[in-house]
Amino acid sequence: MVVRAIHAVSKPQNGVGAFVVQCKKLEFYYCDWAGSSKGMNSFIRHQLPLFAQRNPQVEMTVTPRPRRHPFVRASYVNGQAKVVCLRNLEKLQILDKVRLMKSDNGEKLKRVNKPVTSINDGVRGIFSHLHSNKLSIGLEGMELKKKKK
Amino acid sequence: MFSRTIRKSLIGTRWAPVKTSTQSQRQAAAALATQSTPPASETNPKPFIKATTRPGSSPSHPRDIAKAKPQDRAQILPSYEDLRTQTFEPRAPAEPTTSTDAVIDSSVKQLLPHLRSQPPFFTTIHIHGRPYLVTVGDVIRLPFLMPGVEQGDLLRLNRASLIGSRDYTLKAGATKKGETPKYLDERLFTCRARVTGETQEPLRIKEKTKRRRRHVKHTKSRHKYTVLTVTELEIADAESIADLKELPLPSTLDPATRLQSLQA
Amino acid sequence: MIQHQVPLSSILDSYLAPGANVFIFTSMKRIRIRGQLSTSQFTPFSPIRNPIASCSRCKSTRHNSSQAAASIPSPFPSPAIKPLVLDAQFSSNLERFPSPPPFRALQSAKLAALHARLDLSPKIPLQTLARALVDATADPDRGHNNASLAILGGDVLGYYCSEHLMCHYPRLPLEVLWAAQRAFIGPDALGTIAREWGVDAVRAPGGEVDPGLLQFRQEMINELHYEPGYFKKKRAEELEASLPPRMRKENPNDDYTPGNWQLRFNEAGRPQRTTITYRVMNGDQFGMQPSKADHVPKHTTLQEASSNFVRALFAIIHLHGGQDVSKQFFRNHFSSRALDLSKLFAFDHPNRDLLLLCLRENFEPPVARLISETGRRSAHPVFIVGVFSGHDKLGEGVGASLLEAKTRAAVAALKGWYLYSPLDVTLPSEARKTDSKKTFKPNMVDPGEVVVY
Repeated sequence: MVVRAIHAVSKPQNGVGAFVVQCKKLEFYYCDWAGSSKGMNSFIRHQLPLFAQRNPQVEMTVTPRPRRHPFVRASYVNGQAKVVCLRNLEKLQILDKVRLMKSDNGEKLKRVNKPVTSINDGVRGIFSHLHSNKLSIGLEGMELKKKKK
Repeated sequence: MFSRTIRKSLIGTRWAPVKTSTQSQRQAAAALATQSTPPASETNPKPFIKATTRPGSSPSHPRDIAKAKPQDRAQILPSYEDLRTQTFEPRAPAEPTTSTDAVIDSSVKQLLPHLRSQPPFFTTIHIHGRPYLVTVGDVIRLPFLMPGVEQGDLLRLNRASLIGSRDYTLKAGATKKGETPKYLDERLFTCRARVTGETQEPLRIKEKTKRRRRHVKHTKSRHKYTVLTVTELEIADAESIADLKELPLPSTLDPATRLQSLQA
Repeated sequence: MIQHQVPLSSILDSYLAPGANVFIFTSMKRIRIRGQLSTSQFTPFSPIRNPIASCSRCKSTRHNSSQAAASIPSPFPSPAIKPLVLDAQFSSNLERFPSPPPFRALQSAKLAALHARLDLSPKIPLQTLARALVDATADPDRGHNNASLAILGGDVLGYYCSEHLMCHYPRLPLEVLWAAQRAFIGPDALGTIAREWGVDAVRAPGGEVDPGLLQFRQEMINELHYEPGYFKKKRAEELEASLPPRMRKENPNDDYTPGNWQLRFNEAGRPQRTTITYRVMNGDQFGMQPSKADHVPKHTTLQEASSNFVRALFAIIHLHGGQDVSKQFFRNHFSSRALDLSKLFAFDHPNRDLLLLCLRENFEPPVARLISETGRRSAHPVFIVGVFSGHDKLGEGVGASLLEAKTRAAVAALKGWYLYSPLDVTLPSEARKTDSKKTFKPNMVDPGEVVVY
């Protein structure tokens, strides 16, 4: 056998071809009675229908949870879920939270120092001092002197 | 100084303002259903980046996309800002600024096909004046939350100072301190990035202390950032740059010498 | 404190717009069906519990479908169409179906969300998408499972992928071509893709579970009546299955394991060499042992079921949208994935191969020359060796010994040859298009890889 092959699996690059929204489910929990759900109930009445219409790729459920604070749980394609408590929040504050959860990719929050992450090799290759012109350190002046002569 | 620069650049590069209206949802929707009146175009707001608003997720059906222009798609679906005001008022797409040169160096015309024939490419893209060295598929976590864009939008990044392959590099030219930075002619390349979402940093807790007060105040903050994925990076082919006017060659340098100097 | 005259949940029913995938739970109770809990935590708005409520929901939706909703083009038919009647008839005993009946596809928020997430054309009905999610192990009825679609989809996918690879990399050796094909559309790649699309699977299939979940039957230990010594027995069975037929106790012809042909035996029971030619003639699109056409296993794995779903979905897109749309889908979801082809090669004798290649192509025989070195007498020497054919440098390698550097240089030269990619390629399937300006130029065909006799 001349060439053997090594098994590999291609890696995903979400967004390069198609873009798949990473949030797959949003679950809203509210209480009909409690005051901490006031904003949440208003959100469900006034913002949620439009929000759901705008984001058909996300499955949404609304569930009562009597005598408890309201919250939202987002499930992601990577298997993670994020839960945010929404007690005493106004409807537009809730909208901001929910929108952020929908735009998130479900990964754990990390402090990022380098703005660009890449899986590709460097296009220009790696510097090799063995390929560059030979430098004799400390002898440059001597070379010049010789030339002058 | 740093924050001032950011602010300055933000002010200097306005985004397409969102028209807000207090019309009720039903009225706006009724107006939309007929779609008789085209949206009044804005008075030429100039964004830094060309943004084609497309709230859909992917162009898997070119015919559908082709049928509905970006403008129409924006009409069909209300934007996030509309959610806040509960209106369906459509946004006018922003008029893009261009970065084109009147004449290009003749070496560019000669050497660009060489560059094009050597994929993959890298480029240094500038967003709000900050450079990002990227290749296709790279993820850029911008150090700010980009206003006016939504998840799934495709942006055309037209400010690049550098574009190259393994052996060739096309440079926009060096600038002195205080000079306005130079960018490559945008007709020479196409670089697109998709807004893949927004992310947060972990909760940042700062301890605020004052002398002799025996009290520590903890302030919390958590910044939000926009995440882009570079989807496309292409060099213009010989046909599309054939019409560009070129600068005559300096007599001292012949193309072969230039090629060598560029390769070095 | 707020006071509602009516509970919020009852108001919510009234504003459901088509296109929005919201389901409301009127009760806190989680619904558990026959002890089988689907991996989704809830079953949305189960018609089993309250068919009348569901009827009223649909009616009110129709009544309330405002102009706002009407102006939005929705791929989903309004839930207020026919299925209501069916709903009332069948919803009482959904459990008797092996997989969810088609009318339930219109009620599933998961399915509609999946449709939108993949940006499928409105031409593709939800019922068809639901059928793609039913594996043959869940529902043996060919009219309701995805087996036939998966065959078609697998073939179309294989065609697009091989076309893409062969036209863009005309010199790839066959083994590497198969490996690349497998890396893009092999079962493990398709399983990953289904997971990245957010497709969840059921623990056990049935008519009552959400049609938006992948339905398949997997082998579960509690089904098998666990008894002491179970794993020992299973290991012994696996061992016997790997033995040559003549050494087995039972009839060898019954068992079948898909996969590669590492163990192939002739009629006399002697191990037989599987040649490349044999694999080309008899293998599937990955050069593997093909699965038997009429073989329907009782159980399957999540990976196998997921890959069948992806194949079936691709077939649906191909059938409903045509070649251009399915090709675009292939470009968006499959060929846009990252794969470093240069990491798929493993050479046994690169120096010899390079020599033969040069002889075949009438190049001067390759000569290895030392380009640079450092620390020859040290513990960590570095040599840079180039392989030259006449004045042309074919490849370069770095190594800790002269031999290693030379071998690496030969590998680099061979990879440079095999991974050649022409700049402007017109694919054969593009040539069919009449509207495109591209005229078909014949693609390069390589004499093939170096063969050692």
